[in-house]
Amino acid sequence: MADEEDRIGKLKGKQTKRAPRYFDDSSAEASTKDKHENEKTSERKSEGKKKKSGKKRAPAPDSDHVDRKRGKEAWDSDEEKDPFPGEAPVKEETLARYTRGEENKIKIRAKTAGPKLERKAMEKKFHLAAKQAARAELLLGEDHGYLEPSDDEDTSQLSQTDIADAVDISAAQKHFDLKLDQFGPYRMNYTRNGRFLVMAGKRGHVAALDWMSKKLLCEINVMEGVHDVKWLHVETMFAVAQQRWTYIYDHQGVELHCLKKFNNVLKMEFLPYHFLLATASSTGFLQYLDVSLGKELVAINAKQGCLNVMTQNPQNAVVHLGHANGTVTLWSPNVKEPLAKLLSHVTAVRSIAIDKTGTYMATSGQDRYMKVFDIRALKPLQVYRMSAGAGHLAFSQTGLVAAALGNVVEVYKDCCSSVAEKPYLTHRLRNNISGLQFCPYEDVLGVGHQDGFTSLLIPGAGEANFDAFENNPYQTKKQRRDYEVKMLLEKIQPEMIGLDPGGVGQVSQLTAQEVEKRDQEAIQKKFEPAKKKKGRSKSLKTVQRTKGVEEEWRRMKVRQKMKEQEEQRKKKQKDQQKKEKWGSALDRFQRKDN
Amino acid sequence: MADDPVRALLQMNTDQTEEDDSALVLSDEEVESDSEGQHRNLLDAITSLDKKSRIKGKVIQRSEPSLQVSPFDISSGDNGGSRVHLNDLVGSLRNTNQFSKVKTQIRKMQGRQKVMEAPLVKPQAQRIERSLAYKAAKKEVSRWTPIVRQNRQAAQLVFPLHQEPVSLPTTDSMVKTFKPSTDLEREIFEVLHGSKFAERRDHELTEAEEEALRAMSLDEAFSRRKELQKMRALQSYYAAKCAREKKIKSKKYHRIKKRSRVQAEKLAIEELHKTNPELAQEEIRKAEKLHAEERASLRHRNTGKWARSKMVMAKFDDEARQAVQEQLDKSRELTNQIRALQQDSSSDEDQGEEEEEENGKDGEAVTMETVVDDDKNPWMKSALKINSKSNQKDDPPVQEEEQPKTDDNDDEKPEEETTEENGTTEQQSLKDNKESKEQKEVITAENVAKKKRRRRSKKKKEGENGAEEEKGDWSEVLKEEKKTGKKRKRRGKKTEVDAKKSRPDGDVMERGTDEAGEVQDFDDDETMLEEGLERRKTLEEVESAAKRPDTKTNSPQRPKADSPTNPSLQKQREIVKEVHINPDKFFTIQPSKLRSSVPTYLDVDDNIDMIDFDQQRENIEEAFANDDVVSEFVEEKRKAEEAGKPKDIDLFMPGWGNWGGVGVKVDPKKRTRFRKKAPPPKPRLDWGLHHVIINEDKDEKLKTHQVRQLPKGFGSVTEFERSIRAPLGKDWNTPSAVAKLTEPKVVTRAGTIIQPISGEETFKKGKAKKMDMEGMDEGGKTDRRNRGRRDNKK
Repeated sequence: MADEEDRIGKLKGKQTKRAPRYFDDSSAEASTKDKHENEKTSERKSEGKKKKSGKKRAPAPDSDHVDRKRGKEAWDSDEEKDPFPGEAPVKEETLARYTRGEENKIKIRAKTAGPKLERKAMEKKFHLAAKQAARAELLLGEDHGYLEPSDDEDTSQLSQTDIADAVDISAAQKHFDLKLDQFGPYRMNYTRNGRFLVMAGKRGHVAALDWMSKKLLCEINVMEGVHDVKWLHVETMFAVAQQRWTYIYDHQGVELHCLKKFNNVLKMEFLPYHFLLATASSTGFLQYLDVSLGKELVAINAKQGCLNVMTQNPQNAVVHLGHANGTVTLWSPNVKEPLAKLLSHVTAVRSIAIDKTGTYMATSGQDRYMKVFDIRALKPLQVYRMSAGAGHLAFSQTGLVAAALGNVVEVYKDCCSSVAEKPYLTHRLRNNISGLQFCPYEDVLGVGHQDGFTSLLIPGAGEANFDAFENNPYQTKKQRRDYEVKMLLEKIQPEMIGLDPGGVGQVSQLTAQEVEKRDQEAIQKKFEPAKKKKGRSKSLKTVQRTKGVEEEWRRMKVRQKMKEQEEQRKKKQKDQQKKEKWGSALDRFQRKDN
Repeated sequence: MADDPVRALLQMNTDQTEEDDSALVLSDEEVESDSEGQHRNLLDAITSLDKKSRIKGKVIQRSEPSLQVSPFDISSGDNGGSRVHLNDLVGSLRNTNQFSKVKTQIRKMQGRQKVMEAPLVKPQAQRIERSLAYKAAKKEVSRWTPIVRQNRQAAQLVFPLHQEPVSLPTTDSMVKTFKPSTDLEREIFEVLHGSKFAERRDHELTEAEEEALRAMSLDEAFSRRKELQKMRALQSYYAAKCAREKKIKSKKYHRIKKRSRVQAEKLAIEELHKTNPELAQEEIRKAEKLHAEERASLRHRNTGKWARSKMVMAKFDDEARQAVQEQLDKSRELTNQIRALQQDSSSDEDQGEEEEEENGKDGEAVTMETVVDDDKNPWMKSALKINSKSNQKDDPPVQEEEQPKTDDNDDEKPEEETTEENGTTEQQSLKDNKESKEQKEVITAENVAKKKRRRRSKKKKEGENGAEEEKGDWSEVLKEEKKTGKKRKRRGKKTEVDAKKSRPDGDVMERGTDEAGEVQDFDDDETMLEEGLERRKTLEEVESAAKRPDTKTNSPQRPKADSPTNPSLQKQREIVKEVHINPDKFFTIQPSKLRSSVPTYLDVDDNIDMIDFDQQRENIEEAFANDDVVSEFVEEKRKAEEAGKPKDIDLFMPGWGNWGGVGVKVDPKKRTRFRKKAPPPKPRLDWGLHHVIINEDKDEKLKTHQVRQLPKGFGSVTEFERSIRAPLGKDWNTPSAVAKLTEPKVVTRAGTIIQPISGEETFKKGKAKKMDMEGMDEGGKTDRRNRGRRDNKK
């Protein structure tokens, strides 16, 4: 343990000399502009903390709000007429962003159309809600900026020291290097609120820390090879895929569970809304663990050999696996076959990344291509020829793509919907990269590699406006506990995972049709007497025969029904007996004294 | 009842005046001493008095005893006109001066004619009472209906219902009622309101500013006025000139004028090009936009009102025909210009492509549309694609593509084989058309004419050869180079293949834009594969392709590709499939190079060698792995499709109606006759996506959470699905919206007594208006309307 404590001492912010900046000689105006951008990189979201003046941009000058300067007139005019009557208008495109699906056009004919009236009122409420949500966009004052070069400059030429020097001290501290050269290469993972970091070296070193304050939560050596590490729903638990089995540790490094069913796991993904830990093993199995119940949900043999490329679609919780034959398969725990299969490369797929909206998927293969797909339509959008096949890909919350090419990290901007020609930022490391993830809500890219861990500043990578109900970077202990309970209460059942996340809201139309068909058949089914000879098919005889058969049918039905009822009654009786014997489950809450 | 007073009167008369009233007494005596003959005479006399019977000339004798019918034919009063009134009996008294006593009595009697009616029978009276009570009660109760309805339909009811509105004073109301009280306030108020420097609501300038403006010098004002006058005069001259010119009716004049204007504009642009290229560019862009708009519109097509009217006349009128032709020419010109331009550029691209292929590096996945500048315009693309195709390939491939189509037709209509020759000659002529590009348009016109002729002949033949026309249509479609599914739908009958491919139009559009490099759209997946096979790079392949269609045409009754009856052929095809698969179809987007940095490998001493080795390895991998992976994928997809298709049902029983047993050959016709054909499969979700296989099995587990049957009250599934489309929770909505969306139907205030609704409260005067809640729904509004109506009535 002494060794480990030594290592803690090496956690340090990178100290660098101030280098001459490209904007130092330019006009003051330019510098302030750049300053804005750079400061953005740093300390966005100092919501909970102090805020520097001038840093935060005033609420975006929204055209419809600019128009409404009614204040003065209202005060000094004698007339009561409002020059801008009614509520403030909402922009169409903003409204469209919050409008969900098509409206139900309801025609009301009768005055007393009760349910229809209600539904119509509901439509109006939906519209109202969308409008209000659009209006509330005004509150999202923060904007993730980017580095904006002038004509003769190139952002990809900027080094991390340049950026760290330009930003304020608290942001500069987010660029650091952890030199851990004994147990690498490192895999790493940030919590969903971006506050905590867990990293695991190939040779067994596992450490969890509050990376902003550099406060160590725990540091252990599992004395076994480690393939992957992932946080569970809160920062008190993380899963480590070790040489043989998967383990779950708490934030103090205490082993909580050993999952022997999850053996030889190479990659893991945690689906936070479903409380599912998905693992991909070298034996070719995709397994799901329900973390809230501690049960294995399903084990699927992907029949594609070793599974070492895995990612999840945050929008619909579908797991994407990459295979050696260049295909990407999409999986849900409910179907034993892939939901879809996509041929993306002619050689093995090396990594996959999906953006948070579930719109774009970037894949890289050994053929040195990086491809961007629209996964809603499963259509390719962009194909890039790279200097090397990207071993790791990552999407930031704002849509930047980071690629690890050997020992080089490159970040691309606007590479999905339009063609990017050059990287936005580049950083060269000493050794090969083994883990890559953008830190949520921070302009930071975490890179795990042979020599430890490097935190890079990527201006414009983090979402500037966070929803504290969803993910709160400034979460207190109490809030975390509340959040955990709330998450558990709102857990989504794994059956709802599918390509279309709105599948639950659909009527399973086929069954409805089937039911109808069955009913139809039941109505139509009638006995048709066969034709008989020698006067036995006279009308009276046929009628008699028909009646007899139908009567027999009816009896059969009644008998069946009676049987069912009898069974039900027996079951009820049994339950009653049980209840009498054991009492109700709720009885344990009754007061003992009465 | 009418008889009573008479009888009473007679009674009275006999009692009071026995001696005086001789006439009456006399009549009494007569009655007493009547004999049979006299009585008859009297009757006769009386009947003769009755006009009706006199006219009829006979007396109705009634034999049956009846109370109503009087034996004297005096009606009992029911037949109103013939009723005997008092006047009839004692009217003669009026002329005499005697009997004054009787007279006065009679007059008195006539005076008080109001006689109380006898009470109704009990049930009748009760019925009337009940109906009246019902009316009253209904009126009382129906006052409540609007209120009840409103309460039922209200989005929310807050109990107790009647609450005094509580309101806080708003700033507006405060401002309105504000009166300056202190000195300071008064002073400020005066400055704000009384001063001429204060801003005014309706005016742009303050009073003081206006004054300053007014205080201009006299000269200045004069000169300004003069200027204004001059301007006005010039304007009026120009307006007059324009009006005059506009009135000129000569078309020639206008044409010449327009031409000169266009010429002038052209010159101006050229001039501008020299002096100010940017502005010129702008102008050119404008012109292009105009051009585009022209193309987008149907202005110069033959669909307009004018054109149609002309076309009606065209048969008899050369001029009209010419006019239409001119217009069509113009439209063609407008639509063709850019295409021609693009064609050139695409051919350039072709050359470039060839060069690239020679290099052997980046030959993969180069398709036309991504290279073209104008790739943002999907419509342009499709046109371009065809052009590029026709450039790329010479005629044989074109023919080869058409041949299977005719085969399809033949399959369905073997009886129309005779017309097939016609069709092929059509194709031949079409081929010729393609060869001679200059004459293309002329021939198109010819074909149209041909088609018309054929149509006429068809009418004569009474639909004997419908296929011919179809083919004519089809060739025209080809010529028009619009190979969308929509067009194809126009082909007469829908074949099975057609059923497969007919998809929503949107999909067709998608196909047009997304399947880069796919010039011909595919009929179904099977042909899609064939398409893939027939796209050749080497000469031999092209040759072999040229041979293949021949074999097809030789056997018109070629069985379907997927029919299991011909396994050897199928196998053969599969082999062919595996050999030629063009990965271009799977990776349709042209790769763009990223200026990414090359990684360095510090672990290895000789980096450079390492890189070289790595690259080499990757290159080799690329070269070899490619086809294998793709063909595997194609095979997998094919299998998935096969598995998804509904199967034919074979109901054939060996030995049925025939000799059976070992060595007995079964008639294949019989075998096919008992095969129940499966319905055409549904279009797959991954239709048209060559690189994707989508699993189409339903998610059984999801079903447990889904609604099984359409809930009551919903008209359709979409209606229901839409009704639950929006989230209600606070994660997606603002707090007020959540409150609104989830508001309960009934709210009760804690600690308050909820009294039953009372009329006094509700119908208090002026209360109705207060009752109005802010109605969000239709129901609220209708109620308000109702209440208004009710108030008006009051």
